[in-house]
Amino acid sequence: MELLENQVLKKDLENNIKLIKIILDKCSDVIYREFVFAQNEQIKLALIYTDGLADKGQVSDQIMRALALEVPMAVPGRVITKAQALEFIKERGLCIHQIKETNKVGEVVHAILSGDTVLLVDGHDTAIINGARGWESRPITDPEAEPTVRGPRESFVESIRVNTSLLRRKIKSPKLKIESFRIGRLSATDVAIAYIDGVANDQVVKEVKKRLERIKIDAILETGYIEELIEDEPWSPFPTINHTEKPDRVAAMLLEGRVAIFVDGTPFVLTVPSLLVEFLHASEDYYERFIFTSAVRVIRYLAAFASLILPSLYIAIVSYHHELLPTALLLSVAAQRERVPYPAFFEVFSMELVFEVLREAGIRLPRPIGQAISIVGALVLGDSAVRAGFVAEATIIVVAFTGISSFTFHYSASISFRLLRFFLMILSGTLGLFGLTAGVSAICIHLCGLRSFGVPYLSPVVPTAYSDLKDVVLRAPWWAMLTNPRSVLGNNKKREAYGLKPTPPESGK
Amino acid sequence: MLEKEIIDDKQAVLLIINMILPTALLSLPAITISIAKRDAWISAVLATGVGLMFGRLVSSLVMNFPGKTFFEFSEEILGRFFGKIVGIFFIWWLIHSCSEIVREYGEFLSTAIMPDTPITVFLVVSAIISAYAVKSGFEVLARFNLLFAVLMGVFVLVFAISFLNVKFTRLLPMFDTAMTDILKGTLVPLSWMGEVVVFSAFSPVLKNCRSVVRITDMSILLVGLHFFIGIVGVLMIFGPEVGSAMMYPVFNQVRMISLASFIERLDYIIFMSWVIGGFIKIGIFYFAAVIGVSWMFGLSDYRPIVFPVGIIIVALSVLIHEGIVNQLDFLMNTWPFYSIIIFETGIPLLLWLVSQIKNRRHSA
Amino acid sequence: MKKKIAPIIWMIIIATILSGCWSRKELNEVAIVLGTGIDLNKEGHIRLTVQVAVPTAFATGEEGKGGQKEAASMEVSADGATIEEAERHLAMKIPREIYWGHCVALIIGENMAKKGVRMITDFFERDREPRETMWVMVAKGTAEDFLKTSSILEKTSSQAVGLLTRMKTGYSVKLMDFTEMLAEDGIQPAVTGVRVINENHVTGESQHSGAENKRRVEISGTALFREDRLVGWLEADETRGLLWLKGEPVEGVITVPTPEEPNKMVSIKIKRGSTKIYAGHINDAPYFTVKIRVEGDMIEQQGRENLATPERMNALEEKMAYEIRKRVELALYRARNIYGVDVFGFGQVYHRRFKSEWRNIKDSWDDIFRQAKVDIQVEAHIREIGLLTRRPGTEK
Repeated sequence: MELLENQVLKKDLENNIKLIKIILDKCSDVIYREFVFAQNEQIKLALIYTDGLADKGQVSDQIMRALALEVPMAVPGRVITKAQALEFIKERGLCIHQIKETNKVGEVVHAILSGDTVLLVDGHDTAIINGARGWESRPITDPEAEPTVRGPRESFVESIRVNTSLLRRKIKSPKLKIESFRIGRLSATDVAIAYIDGVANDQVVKEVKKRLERIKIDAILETGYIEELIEDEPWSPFPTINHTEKPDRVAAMLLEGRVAIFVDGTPFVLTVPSLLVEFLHASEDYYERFIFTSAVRVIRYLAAFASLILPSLYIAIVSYHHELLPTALLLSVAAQRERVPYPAFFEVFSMELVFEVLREAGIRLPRPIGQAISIVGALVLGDSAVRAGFVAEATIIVVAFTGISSFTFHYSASISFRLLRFFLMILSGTLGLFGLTAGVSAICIHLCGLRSFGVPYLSPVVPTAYSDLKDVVLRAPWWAMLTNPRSVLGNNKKREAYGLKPTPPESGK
Repeated sequence: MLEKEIIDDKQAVLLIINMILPTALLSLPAITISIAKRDAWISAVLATGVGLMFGRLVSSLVMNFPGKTFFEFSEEILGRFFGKIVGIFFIWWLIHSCSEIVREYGEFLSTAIMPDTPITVFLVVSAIISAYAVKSGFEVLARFNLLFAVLMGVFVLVFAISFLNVKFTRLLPMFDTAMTDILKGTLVPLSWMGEVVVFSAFSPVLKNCRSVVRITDMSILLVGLHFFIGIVGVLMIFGPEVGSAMMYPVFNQVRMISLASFIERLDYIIFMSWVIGGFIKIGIFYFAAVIGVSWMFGLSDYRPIVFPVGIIIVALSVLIHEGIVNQLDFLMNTWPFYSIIIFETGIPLLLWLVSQIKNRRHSA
Repeated sequence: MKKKIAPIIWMIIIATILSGCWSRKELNEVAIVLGTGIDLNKEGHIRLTVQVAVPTAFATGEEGKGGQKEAASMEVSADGATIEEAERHLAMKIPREIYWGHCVALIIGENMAKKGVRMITDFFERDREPRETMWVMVAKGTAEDFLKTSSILEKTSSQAVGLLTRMKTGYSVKLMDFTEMLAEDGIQPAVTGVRVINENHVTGESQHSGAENKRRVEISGTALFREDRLVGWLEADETRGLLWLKGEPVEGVITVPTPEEPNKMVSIKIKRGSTKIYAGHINDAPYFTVKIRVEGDMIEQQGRENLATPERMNALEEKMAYEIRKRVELALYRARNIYGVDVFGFGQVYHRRFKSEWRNIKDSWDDIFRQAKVDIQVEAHIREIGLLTRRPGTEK
């Protein structure tokens, strides 16, 4: 098969069609349409395209109709010989916005399977590839995984061209570069990297390209494949590559000097390098006023912290360090725990598992049932568990609050937080607060050593880039964020003019 | 060995502070107060003055041999044979003090926090965490330290709240203790400050070795300030009698907090800061020991020996003392002389003198 | 560079799981001690009484409502040569591990206090569970009896006295302060006194059933120690004087007669006050000046006089100063001249000022102090007089 694909086209049309038919054997979705040019029996043409991928309207109107009927009307009286046919068709005949020529059989086949329409002309060993793609695709809808209250409502779709166009609409500068790759031996997936020339760090761009070119795999179905193949620290529980389905977020990332990786067939776009703090920020943070944003972010950081350590802290306090609670609260918790036969560790651990089951079910279940399940899960399970003396009320409160907290920030980071939560629970269940502290220290040491495409994962906090602290827990107003983040870029790029802080007009004169 | 790792001056200062401070706040105030009584804070001030000279000694060595660790320049100064011997002594001291620190932490945890848990568990877990930091590299250790410094804000706040219980009159009358006792009390904080010499094992990580003088001065001053605050706090809250009788007076000081009738029982916040600080302090000494050992065997990478050295440290920390009484006695009566005279001043001073004489001879 | 976290995580998990969880004490495996009482039994041993919370009585919601009211606490006693030994004996009666971390009050019975308290306080300072901030008090009678008494509003007597002491109505002393007073030279310990009263006599109420159960706890005066032995008591009025001399923030009311109508009273609420003690020498003998400054608000007036004039205010302030001075002198007299103890810390003041002289006299300080002259100067001010300037219908 490879041999066939490496061949070049011959001058004989029949032969060429036969060749392609051999390669695309048993591909019932490929359509071969043979007809003649300008009612001239001498010049035979053949159109080959994949049903469902090519825009049928365009194929019939702009190619067949134009070549078969309209060409004679456009240039009446002129006789077109077989030798001229290709030139003529290319320059005058086709009403298609994008054409490409090739003589390689492999490229022809790829073009057909990618949705392009291939025109073969008898007597010429060159095929014309017409960019008349058009297939059913999902319309651009609200982002499902990252809903916002304020900000653009569009999200990426499965088609890479639509996705890059969404990005281009946000950044209309020649400096926005979109470079294409094709990865996957079987899938031949289109992959594109986007960055802004002069803003993105050249080293990072080079590194991304290097890592992408390294990939030798049969198929890429989602950005997740690429993520796992290019990340810095495959064993880390933390994601070192961010992904988003919001074009505005990608644009913002690029403007801060990051590189985006688009993959055809998925609405999720990867951005690198990514820092831990990114996962705690939402795109909305930059659209709402900074005072509100800062307050919300403080809450989000606290929630993230709670989602990591709250259950283990509870275990440590209830079964090791009773002196941490005020007397009145301790007595009330003691009263609740009086009926519970299990150690706090077992109780919290199993309730956390129950919560994870509910969460997973909530995602997998068909939407209409989901509602019912959450009611059953939350009310029936929780309430009956308490009544049955299986768990204490305080445990339910802790588990529920932890669960809710873990949804306040980026989903993929919250998964790693949830995993580590179990690890910390084991530690604090065996060694109390000492175990918890040791576990948190181990996580911190691990985080300090993590890098994402050469950028320390914990920057700008550690190592500290003071100017970048404007956008970590608190967000400075836009008129104060004068430069791009140094931690990603390595060099300060000016973002805006100085002195944009608005002032009221001077009254009086 | 450390060629790729670079830290900036601020990180270096914080590193030296956390290299000295964590264990100091554990047991230093009680020991100093038991010797110098009500005037222990004068001892702390004096010790800072002398400590600055220690720092200068170390920094002048580091500056004269840029890009070289303690072991490398001792070999250069004293020659191959004597250099190795000094190096081996120094490695012994590092491993010994590291296991001393590990043990100190273990004793604290098993006395004040979890008495039913065998001390070995704490020793092993602390060593594992520190080993992980050491194995991750010096930059990671420095960054972890920086992260800890960011978290320090909370601890400082808690510590500050505990100062609401102070009575200034407890410091009076001043100079009530005999001058000899005050001077004797100076040795205790000094033996901690002398630990600055450990930093010379990492000197190549500095961006610019010219700034080492500023770094050591700054860190010794800040450490001195902490000692002063720690001692003065204990004195002003418990008075000299009770303060010196306690095992971990700073811990009790935080336990005394009772603000607005609901901000109380904050002892575990200070406990956590000590545990994390302990990991860092152990990590730094551990790292220095590992660098020394890999120098001794001429290894190009220190990572393979991290765990062997760790096992030695843990084993030593288990065997080193019978119980806390022995350790306290050792820390109070033997350690200051042992480590100040031999390792913290003796060896650096020897190296400095020999290098000066050599220089003189070269220029003459 | 290899930085795999997985092996580290496994090592920690295995290390901790294999090592087990020795220190674990689930909340339903501990007996939470709220108050501790220590008495001397007839054989001269320590009798330890602990007030243990009954958790189910503290439950909120349904369990709490249904059924008859459960006792919120149980008091258990045991004897022993040391506290720890007594605790071991307690463990034979209580099926759970005794947990001291939430003990509010350490109540010392009168007999125990007379024998000496040093032999009992060490346990509470040395053990990690009891907190330094627990209140120390001496019960008139036995501590056991005191702990077994119910209280108003609070569920247990320990919580009640804990809150009462916290409000600083008496001379409240935390364990750590008590330790310091015991340890330092130039001061003798003094702690709050508490007692059990029979409310039947006070109110004479009869319609409620179970009138025999109307025994209540209350704060009553201050216990004075020489070294670690109880030597005597100050009454509530004298405790005020003690507080003034100690420079403790005094919250309370002073009632003085109206300047012109001696049988009608005026009450003044004290807002703030400060005390300064200066040491000096007269003919080589220690001499002290106590300067007290008080500010207060007028709260209540019985008479018909118009007090809102500067002259009358001054007269009232002088009466107030006199009243405070009287109390301070009374406290000083009782403690110094009757019991012969320096619970005020005059010795410390002297030490601060004359450190070399102090070394010579510190061993005979109690005798020297008895001879020392103490000059008390009180300066009182009234700041606010409330919403009335004078009583309606009286002279202008």
